[in-house]
Amino acid sequence: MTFFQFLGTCEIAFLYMFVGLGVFLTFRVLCFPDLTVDGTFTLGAALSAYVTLMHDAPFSSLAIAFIGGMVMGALTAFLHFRFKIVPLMAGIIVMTALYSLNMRVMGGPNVSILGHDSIFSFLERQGFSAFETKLGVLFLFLAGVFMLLYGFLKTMTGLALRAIGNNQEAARYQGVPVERLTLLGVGLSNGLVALGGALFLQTQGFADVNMGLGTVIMGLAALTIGEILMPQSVLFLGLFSAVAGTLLYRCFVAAALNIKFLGLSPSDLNLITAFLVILSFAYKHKVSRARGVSC
Amino acid sequence: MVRFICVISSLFFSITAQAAKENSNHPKVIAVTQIISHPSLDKIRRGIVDSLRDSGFEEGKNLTIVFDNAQGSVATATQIAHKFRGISPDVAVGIATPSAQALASVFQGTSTPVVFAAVTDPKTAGLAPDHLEGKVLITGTTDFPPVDQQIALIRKMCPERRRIGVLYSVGEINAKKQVQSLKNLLKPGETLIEIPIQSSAEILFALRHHLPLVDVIHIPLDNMIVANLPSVVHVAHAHKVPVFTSHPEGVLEVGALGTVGIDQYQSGYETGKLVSQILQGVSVKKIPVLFLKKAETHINRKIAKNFGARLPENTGECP
Repeated sequence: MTFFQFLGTCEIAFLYMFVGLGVFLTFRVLCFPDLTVDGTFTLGAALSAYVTLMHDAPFSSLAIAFIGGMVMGALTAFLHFRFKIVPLMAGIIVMTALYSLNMRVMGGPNVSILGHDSIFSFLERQGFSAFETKLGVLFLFLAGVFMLLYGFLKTMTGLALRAIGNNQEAARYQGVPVERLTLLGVGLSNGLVALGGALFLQTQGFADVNMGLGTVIMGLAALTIGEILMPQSVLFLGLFSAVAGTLLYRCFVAAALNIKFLGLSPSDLNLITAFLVILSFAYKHKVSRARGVSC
Repeated sequence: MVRFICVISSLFFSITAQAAKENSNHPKVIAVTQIISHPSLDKIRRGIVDSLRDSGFEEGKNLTIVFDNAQGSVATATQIAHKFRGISPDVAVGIATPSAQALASVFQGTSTPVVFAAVTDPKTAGLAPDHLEGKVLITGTTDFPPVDQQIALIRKMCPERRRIGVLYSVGEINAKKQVQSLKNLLKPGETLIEIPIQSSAEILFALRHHLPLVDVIHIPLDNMIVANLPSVVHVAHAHKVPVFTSHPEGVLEVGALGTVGIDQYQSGYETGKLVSQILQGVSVKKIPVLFLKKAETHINRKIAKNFGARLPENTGECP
């Protein structure tokens, strides 16, 4: 792997770390297996493209993407509570709807802002190189979001969210408004993923309607790698492992692009990903038996 | 476990570092990426390689070709683009819109030329050279099918069939563009009935539903439909509806009634010519985007007889 490829890998990893954090929030903190993210990742990119192209406002496009993702995530949770649809199914429904919706927002299956002003343009005009600007800004964004999320999960509301994930019934008996907080939690998760999608558009300059394909499974694989690497004893490490796992997962992808002579090809990547996710569930199974918790 | 992963990853890193070094010893390196494995896109790639060979750049002798397939994932396409930038090849080639966009984005600010192929509308895709001037050196070929000739062929062969059903997938920008252009070409009395599909599983369902409502089926250059063309043609013929396609294989191999289209291999071959020009030292700025125009018309006589269609003059035919 060349140095540049490694930096490129970091760039993609930074983008998908938002997905990692989002998936961590639903699958680990809330125990709400949410598949909406496959749609909201693209939604974030689509909304960001729309606002950037139509209103020349790349920065506000990030906020709008975040809100859009949040609404769709909350919708999934709403479907679950209102109509008793299992979370997986509710996620698939919203994801399916989002495919068409994204196409509406983008005005077609593919949209490009290449050559337009992005969130990086004003720094590039100051003479910074395009590549370093992207890496730096993305890192700052990520660090900010990471700390905000960590801070939020430490508040009373955040604590209640984590309680829901640990034992929903017990949380309910303690007076935690389970429905409302799950709506918030799943919304927040999808908002983060949409923000990742929006930043993807800003860095890569294009969005495609099929770009969200497999987002959730990639996020899960990243979580697994992180969990195998480090203990989940405290919240900070849990969040950090989601982020570190994403970087390692992207390194795996980069390695898979380079190791053709071992008989592996990039088309085997999905197999490896699936294997990692199975490993994740096996690991969880083992841990939960040891600790006596169910999720 | 931690150690295990460290070992594995460091192994990968060292191996790949070596692989990259080997590449840089060759005089000319081109890096080719395509978004997904697909007969049309594979043909374009073969066309590029053959064209380079005919121009004196033979793989393994004086040319190294690095090839990566993104397997349908846009994120992987971007990582491939970064890998290519790390190799810094003499030319980077992106086949199909998302792969070309990923290259154009990652190679910004470098002197490596990017060449695209199978991009139907470079302007909308943000890949037009004047649009990206000063950011990235880019050129390529675009293979927008001659929709005017296509509709003319339908009128000529089946004048009484005036309800044209267009089967296309909504997820492909190429297909969508062609449907729009077709709509603008309609004459009074002709109707265009869109048969949009979202996934390949829906094709036959949507087709069966619409077949009673249309007189003829037209298929644009659409990767998803083209991959399932044999069953589309089979079902349509069973309902006595002829099929027109946008690429020659539809007629020659699958048994559609007629086609006007640009051969994908030829489109790759032309792209290869651009690449070899760049390798020979021609400045990219002097190579404009090539709009492929040379369309071939093919008709299938046997099917034409079955449908009682009229035969146009002077066309490539199929027994």
